[in-house]
Amino acid sequence: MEDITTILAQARSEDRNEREIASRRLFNLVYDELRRLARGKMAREPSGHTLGPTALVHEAYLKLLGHDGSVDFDNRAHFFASASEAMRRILVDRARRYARTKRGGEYHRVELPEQTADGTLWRRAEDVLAIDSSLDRLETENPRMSDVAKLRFFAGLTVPETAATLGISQRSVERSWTGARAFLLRDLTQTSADPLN
Amino acid sequence: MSDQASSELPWNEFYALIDASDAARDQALRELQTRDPIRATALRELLEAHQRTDPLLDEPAALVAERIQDSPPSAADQLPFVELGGFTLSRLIGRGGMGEVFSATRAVDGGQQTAAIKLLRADQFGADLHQRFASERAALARLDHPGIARLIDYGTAPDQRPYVVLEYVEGAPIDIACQEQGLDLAERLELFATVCDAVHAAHRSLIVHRDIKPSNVLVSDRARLVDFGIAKDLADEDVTQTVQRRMTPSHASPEQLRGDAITTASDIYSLGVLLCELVTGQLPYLSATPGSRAGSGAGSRTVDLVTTSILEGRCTKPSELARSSVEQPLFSPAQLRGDVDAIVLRALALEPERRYDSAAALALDIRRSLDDRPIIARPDSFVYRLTTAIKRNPIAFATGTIAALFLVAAVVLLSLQGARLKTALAQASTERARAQEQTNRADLNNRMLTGFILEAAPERAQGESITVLEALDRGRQRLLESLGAVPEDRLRLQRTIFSILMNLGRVDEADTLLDEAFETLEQIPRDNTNWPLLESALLSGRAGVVYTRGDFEQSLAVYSAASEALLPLPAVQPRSRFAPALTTIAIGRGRALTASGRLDEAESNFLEALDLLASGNQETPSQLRASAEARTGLARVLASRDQLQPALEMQTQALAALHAAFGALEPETLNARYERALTLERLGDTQQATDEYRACHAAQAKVLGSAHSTTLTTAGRLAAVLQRADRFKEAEDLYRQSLEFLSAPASEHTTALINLGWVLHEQGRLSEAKHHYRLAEGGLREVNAPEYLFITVLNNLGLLAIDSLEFNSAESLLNRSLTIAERLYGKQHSVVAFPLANLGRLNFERGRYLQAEAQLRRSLEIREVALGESHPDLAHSQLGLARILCNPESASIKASVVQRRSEGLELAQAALETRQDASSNYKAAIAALEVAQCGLDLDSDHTSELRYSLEAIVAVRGPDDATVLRAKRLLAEDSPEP
Repeated sequence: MEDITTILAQARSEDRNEREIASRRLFNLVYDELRRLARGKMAREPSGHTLGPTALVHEAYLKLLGHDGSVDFDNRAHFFASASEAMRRILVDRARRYARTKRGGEYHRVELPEQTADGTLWRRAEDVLAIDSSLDRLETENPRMSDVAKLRFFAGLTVPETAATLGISQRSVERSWTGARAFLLRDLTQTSADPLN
Repeated sequence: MSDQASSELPWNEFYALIDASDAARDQALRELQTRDPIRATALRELLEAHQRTDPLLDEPAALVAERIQDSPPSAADQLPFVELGGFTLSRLIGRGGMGEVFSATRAVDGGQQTAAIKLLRADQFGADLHQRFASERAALARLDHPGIARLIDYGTAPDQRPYVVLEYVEGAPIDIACQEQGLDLAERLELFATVCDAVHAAHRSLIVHRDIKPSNVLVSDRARLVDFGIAKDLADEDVTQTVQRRMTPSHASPEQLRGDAITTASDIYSLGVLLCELVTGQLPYLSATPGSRAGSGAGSRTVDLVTTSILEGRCTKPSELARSSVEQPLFSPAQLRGDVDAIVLRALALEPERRYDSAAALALDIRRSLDDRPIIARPDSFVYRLTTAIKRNPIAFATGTIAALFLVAAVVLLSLQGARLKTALAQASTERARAQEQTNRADLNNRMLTGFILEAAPERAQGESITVLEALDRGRQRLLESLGAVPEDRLRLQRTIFSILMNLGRVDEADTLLDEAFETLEQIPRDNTNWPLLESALLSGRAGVVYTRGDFEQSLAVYSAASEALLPLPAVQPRSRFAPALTTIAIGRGRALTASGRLDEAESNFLEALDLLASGNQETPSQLRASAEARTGLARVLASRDQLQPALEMQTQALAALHAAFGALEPETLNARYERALTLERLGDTQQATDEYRACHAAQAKVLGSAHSTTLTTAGRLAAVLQRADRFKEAEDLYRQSLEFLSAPASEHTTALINLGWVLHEQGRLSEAKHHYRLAEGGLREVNAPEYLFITVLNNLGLLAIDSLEFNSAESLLNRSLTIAERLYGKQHSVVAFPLANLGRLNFERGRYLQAEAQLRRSLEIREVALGESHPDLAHSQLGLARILCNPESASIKASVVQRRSEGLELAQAALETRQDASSNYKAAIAALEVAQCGLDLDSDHTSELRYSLEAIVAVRGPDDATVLRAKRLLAEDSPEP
């Protein structure tokens, strides 16, 4: 496995190409780590008391970047940005698969967990997908709000963590989160009200 | 950095108001409402959203995510290996008939590669499967197509199970992708065509997929075929012998289910099923709804049902599925009717050889349909095209100035049309009722017969009859075989199929079937009381075949035999028992007699048919149709005799009856409307004819499709009347559009060529016009077309020769046209006037004034008698005559010059008046020019008319045209010297 510190260093390279490659590697690394952690948790605790993304992300962080608090601020920001994207991808993939199994019937030979029976999870899966696409629109509307929302929603970061990751004040985070939240909820209402949208 | 940067939304106001009091908020909103209502709405929505709590956003994503985490690991989810071939396995993504599929990743230069690794299942281990797996690797290694998941690597796992590493394809199954992305019909068809392309690429590499279904076609940025899990390598014969039946029953082809040899045609079939699902959301088997889709363990009854349907070739066409759909169908039956139906049914043909030859051919037909071009799944045979064309196509007639139509007269028609089909179906339906009473006798057969036919039967005959035939073709042989035991049933079926084949113009096949039917008849005991009726029906059928082939005399003889066959029926039989047979015979005879020009006899036959129908005391749909058919036939007789007014009345009646019984959009109603418009046009009511054609055309395009021959024929007439109102460009465009749909040498193609030629001709584009006329003439010769079709093209070519000053050639062409017209229609028929008047003009140009005058006078007389005093066609003769009368050189022939000139002026003025009524400036201008010419010679002043004339003619023919120069010269002479 590549040394994450090297990748993080490359992620700040002057060379744009190198930067992009590093970001992709970072993402893959975090993604795999998150998945493995999630799977491991569930294997140990089949009762369903698995850890949420916040814990997962933090655990991945500790695992990848080490326990010593020596990780510098920029590396931390990169890591969390990457983690929120990875978490987003995991959630969205998961939700999409649920949505598909639900709609596609036996086309998809994926084992269904029992929770689907009550329909809640199904609805949730749809909501996650809706938020995902709504976030894309928010990115166009206001990138700052979108960044904050991703870190808060997908990586489960707290306000201070988000502020530290983005290098902005906590007040700005709160303000952006308020706006993002209103935007997403408004968007969700409109989407569900008008199926053609 | 600011939250509000470049924002479209009212963020400033939002932040200012979130903590404000309700009153302040309302106040602010009201203010903004008057200034900028859109922003006000957005602001209100944002504020409202802000106040809502949402479990999803407010419990941090943590809780949501927790619920949507990967499912608890089941035994199946355990990864058998951490790593295979340099790839790290991450999770089980699917389990198919022969193996498990895992997603896996490996680091490659500059990133990470995700792949799907397919591992043969331990519990499915067997030499046969093993071998097949090996063949898949070989097959896939040869395939490199963007629409097919690529083979990256393969090998053997530590436990000796073989595996393949495939390109990992992200995306949703195609049916779900279509829904999620909200694709419309055209987009779905286009996407489906790309799947066909990929399948074709596989076929070219000798690989049959054998399990094409939505879940094996994944869509992200494009559609990709995955899971060649049971792909069979055609080149590997050993494998062919030993394949197990492993496929998805709902998507399998009949031969696949039977375990017969599997070819590329099996994939075509599965593609047909897939297409049907994409456009209807359902399998093409009635009662096999998606909810009860085959494949899962619980649905074994459905599997049986579907399997039976497949094996029996009992597919339901998409439009029917949409129509009977309980839920809101994806697309309306109207959208699917026609091309989509035909394409699906063609792909789903029971016999592999009746399906598309290749996936490429299927893709091509889809794309043709998308381009609104005729598709090959609906192969209108030439006979069909010719007969419908002859029936419906009065060819535009070029005369000096008018394209007239006619020819409706001689024209006859094949006509086991919709009515006949309906009759057949109604009959089948009655028979079904009877069959139910006699359940002991051949119950199964009857159910198959009637069920099949009714299922396949279209609501509408014309647009869909080809689809019916596709269905019939699929099941025909099978049905006929299975009905062999009961001759009566077999015969009934044969007659029904015969009717449909005739309706489609597949005359040779129909005739062959008739031979078989006669054989069947021999197996029925002669003492069966129905025997005479059956024999008569078959003979009528034979007469129809002979008629369609153009041997009218022979056809009449066979009809006579058909009516003699009824003689053995006891006289005490109720008349109603054989009235339908007699009606059929009378209508058939009427048509044959019309075609032979024996109009009086034809008339009495049509009247007899109407009489027979009137004696029936109930108005069944089939009687109604027969009645409309008889009246239409009668109207043709009348129109052929130039009795246009009575013909119009007759057609109006028939139209009203059809409209009341079947609605405005029924193809037969539209046909009646079209026929009536023809008469209106011949009556000179151009405006109303134009409106009617336009309405018909729009409706037919909707019901039958733009490329349907019937729609195109109407387009042709519409163009002709537009042309007559000086709308040359519109007319030219319509003709050119029609030509794109048509292919040589069908007679509609010829007609469109002639008509296009005439538009060009009238605009003075002589060489282009000639080119098209010649193409048309060549086309007619090539197909050995009936003689009367030559009248127009010869006349038009003759006229063109006059305009090109090729007088000898003009004379020969016009004489040939005249000779045919006189022989076929008699010397007094209005059609004769066209070549005759043109000959008059030719002789005038040559200075043979005596001859010219005689010919023009005769043409005028013919027209006055045939068409009445105010018909626009009269102007053609009047103007020609006026030119002679006013010509100083011809004046020496007769005594009073002034008297002749006055008559000429009068004629020209009459022509001008008619043409002004007929709303053609251009043609009126030509007439005005003649008026001026005649008036000039009489020293009267017609300067204003000349100026008007000059302008109108220049608008059509440009400033350098001969007619324009003539007008300018006249104008110069007319204006007094200053």
